[in-house]
Amino acid sequence: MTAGGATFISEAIAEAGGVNIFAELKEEWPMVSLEQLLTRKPDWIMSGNDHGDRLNLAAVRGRPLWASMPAVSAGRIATVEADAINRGGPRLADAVEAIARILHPDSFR
Amino acid sequence: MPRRNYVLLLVFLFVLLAFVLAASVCSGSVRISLAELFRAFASRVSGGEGGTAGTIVFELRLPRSLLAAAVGAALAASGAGFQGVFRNPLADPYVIGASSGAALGAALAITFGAADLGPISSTSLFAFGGALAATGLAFALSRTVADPPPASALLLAGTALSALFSALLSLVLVIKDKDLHTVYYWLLGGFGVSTWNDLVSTVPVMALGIAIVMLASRPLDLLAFGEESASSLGLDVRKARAAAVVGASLAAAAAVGAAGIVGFVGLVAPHAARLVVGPGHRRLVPTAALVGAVLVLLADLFARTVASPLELPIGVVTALVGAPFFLYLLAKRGAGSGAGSAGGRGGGR
Repeated sequence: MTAGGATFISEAIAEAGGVNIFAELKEEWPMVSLEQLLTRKPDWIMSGNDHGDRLNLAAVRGRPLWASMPAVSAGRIATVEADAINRGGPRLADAVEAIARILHPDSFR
Repeated sequence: MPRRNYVLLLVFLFVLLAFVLAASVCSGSVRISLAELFRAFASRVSGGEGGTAGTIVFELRLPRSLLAAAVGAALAASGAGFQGVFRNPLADPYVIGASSGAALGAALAITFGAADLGPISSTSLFAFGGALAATGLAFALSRTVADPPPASALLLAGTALSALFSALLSLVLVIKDKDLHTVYYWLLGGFGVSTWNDLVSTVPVMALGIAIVMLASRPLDLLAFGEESASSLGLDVRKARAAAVVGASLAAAAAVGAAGIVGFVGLVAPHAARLVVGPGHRRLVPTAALVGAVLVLLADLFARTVASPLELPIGVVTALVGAPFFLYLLAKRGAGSGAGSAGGRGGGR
């Protein structure tokens, strides 16, 4: 499941200077095809940090197919504080900053 | 139906299956032209990866298509087996609790984050185990009723256990509601994340189950005359029924482990096959298996292309198509369409 364009998560990614690869989707939380992920080749793969060991670099590398994605082989997988990014509340600003730090570390020096 | 026509029918179904399989590999969420397909194929043959197109076709679509066909065949053979055992046209692969047992197993694996067993996902493994445990328990309980147990005892034990496991599933989901979404999607079934690993670990079990149901074809034919007639003809009713139930349960459990709960195929495919080849199980089971394979392949193709880039859960598609088709069969043939009219009216999930 991912975040479509009309969601606050997609907006947070844009505010942080990123582009959601599924921004054009009208559905809010669609289940997308793995084929799309392989073709759209995201630069970064991000998630809330509430999936524990099921979603981190080692786990994703271990999934068949995922290892062939550029973001995975380059280790560009990051998790963001789930309580900040998954709720449309005041702390969403913290999540925007966290995402910006991941995408553009140089701007924070 | 004369033997020659039956052989022609099987050939036709095999050709149809091959055609649908090819269509399934060639189409999907991402458009891949035939030229790209050939380039990827050539690259694969010479030891390369074939780029993204190669990965999509050979690591994603091919295994998922083959798995979809296998699951369809397993569910259909299982449904035919259970309909024969219970002489009940409402029986399907989930009639004695395979689906609710699998659902509980999968939910436990997901909510407690059980570790995968090497390449086999814990969800798949727990679903398989849950399905086998539920059907095994139903079978064991039915044997405490009488010896040999009446078929209705197994049906009732299965129905009661289904209710129990469904309640436990609800309880788990209420306590661990964070995982509700994940479990719900698993319950609706799908091949979205199927890989060669899933194929290798589940297809042999499905094949074994289908083979056992096929071997039980003759006994199932005799059982259709009723238990007393069958045993007066020299059939060991107890053994015959056990073999058919074990085969049908194995096939159903492996199918559920591979794809989640894909509904209606196991009910519809045997009925569709029976319309053409009649009630004899030696022809019914292979025909139903081929019909089931084609149906699930088509349903999966539809599920992943109709709303692309989204994927629909396949259980939604099979039920949406299967339920009206079943009603059509019902209207056309009347309620007792071949699977015998004796036996209890069960069919609880």
